[in-house]
Amino acid sequence: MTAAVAEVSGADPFAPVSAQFALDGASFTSRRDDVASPDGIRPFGLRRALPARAGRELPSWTYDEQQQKAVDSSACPLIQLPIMGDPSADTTSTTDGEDGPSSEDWNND
Amino acid sequence: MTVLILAPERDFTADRMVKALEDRDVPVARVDTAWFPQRASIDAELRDGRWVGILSAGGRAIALEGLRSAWYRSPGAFGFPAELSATERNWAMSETKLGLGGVLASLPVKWINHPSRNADAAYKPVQLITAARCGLTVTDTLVTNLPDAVQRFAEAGETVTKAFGAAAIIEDGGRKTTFTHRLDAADLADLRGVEVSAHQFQRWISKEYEARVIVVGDRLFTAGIHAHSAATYLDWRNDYKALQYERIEPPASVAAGILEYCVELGLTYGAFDFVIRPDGNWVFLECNAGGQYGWIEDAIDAPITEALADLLEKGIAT
Repeated sequence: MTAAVAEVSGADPFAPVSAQFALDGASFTSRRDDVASPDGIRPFGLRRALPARAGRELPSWTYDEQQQKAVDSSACPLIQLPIMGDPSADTTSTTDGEDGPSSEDWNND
Repeated sequence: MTVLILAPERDFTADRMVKALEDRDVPVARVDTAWFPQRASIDAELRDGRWVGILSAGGRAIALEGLRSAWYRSPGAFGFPAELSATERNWAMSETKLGLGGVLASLPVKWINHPSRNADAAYKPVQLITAARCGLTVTDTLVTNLPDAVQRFAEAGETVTKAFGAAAIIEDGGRKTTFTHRLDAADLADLRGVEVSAHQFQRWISKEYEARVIVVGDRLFTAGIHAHSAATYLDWRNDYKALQYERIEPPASVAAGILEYCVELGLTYGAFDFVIRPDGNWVFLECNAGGQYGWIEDAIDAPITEALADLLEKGIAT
């Protein structure tokens, strides 16, 4: 394969992840409008990446600094809403605790 | 003494923990590192061999010397002013990581888990070797960017490929997922793209069902996960609605290996995934040191949040 070599500022290929507090890191910003490269360029492991199924709609929420929880418009913590009792997730998009994009589904926390 | 929770704002498991600690009358302060520096500040002095001072965040003044424990729930990346150039943001991120991150990482409190231990334990090849050393069964695995090596490995038996890290990316305006895939003839006929990064290939394991084992200190909470569709049989993350859970106990030798694994990697918490073969043998897949447990807790009615709260409340200095 012939390809241009791009220098990534500040990237050390052998740096331990442990040097990246906070682990989410900030050296790369996801660009939502990136498009998939054609086969042959795209990493093999991404060839079958599919759009995640639609997750359950979150009610409108804000973070309440006093309660230290996500709350709805009436300041009720979302974890106290009846819908939180359903243990099943409605999406495949959770990354299961991995760093990077966090769980999209609000129920399968 | 206060429990520090480092978590993103949208983290319902952290919400539950705040409530659990409140119910125990244990002071708790929740902070998202994404608030720094615009909504949080640090004022720390090294005095008599330890960091003392105030972390101001979330409307609270948190005394560093007044902490008993810290729960690390993958908080967000620092949020710098948009006016900074990319170079300036990168520099600011590095300085903040080493400065604020360094102060927090050095706090002599009980960590669940210490972020550096989480990070060290994130490497799948390290996980597999550690598991094997601890007496757990692992499957043959190939790490390569060579198509010929993939062909060689696949000729020896059925093969799957899966990511080392996150199974999701942001692309084409939304989120995409890439879960475990069983290689077929079409894949092997066109392995272009293998060469552009490291890839993981593993021998397919015949499975009766799968299990997730949540470790909290020396306590194990285990959910048997039964797939009811072809997609979830391959990777249960494909469709949670096609799963059935039951609370089970792992074999004693597996439990011992799991606990030894945690000691080796310095983990108080871990989410272990296993395949249970038709012959009953448990095969280690991975351990996510920051893995989710909320839905498992509900599904098998296991007091995982309370078990974690026990440790956070106790807060032994490390």
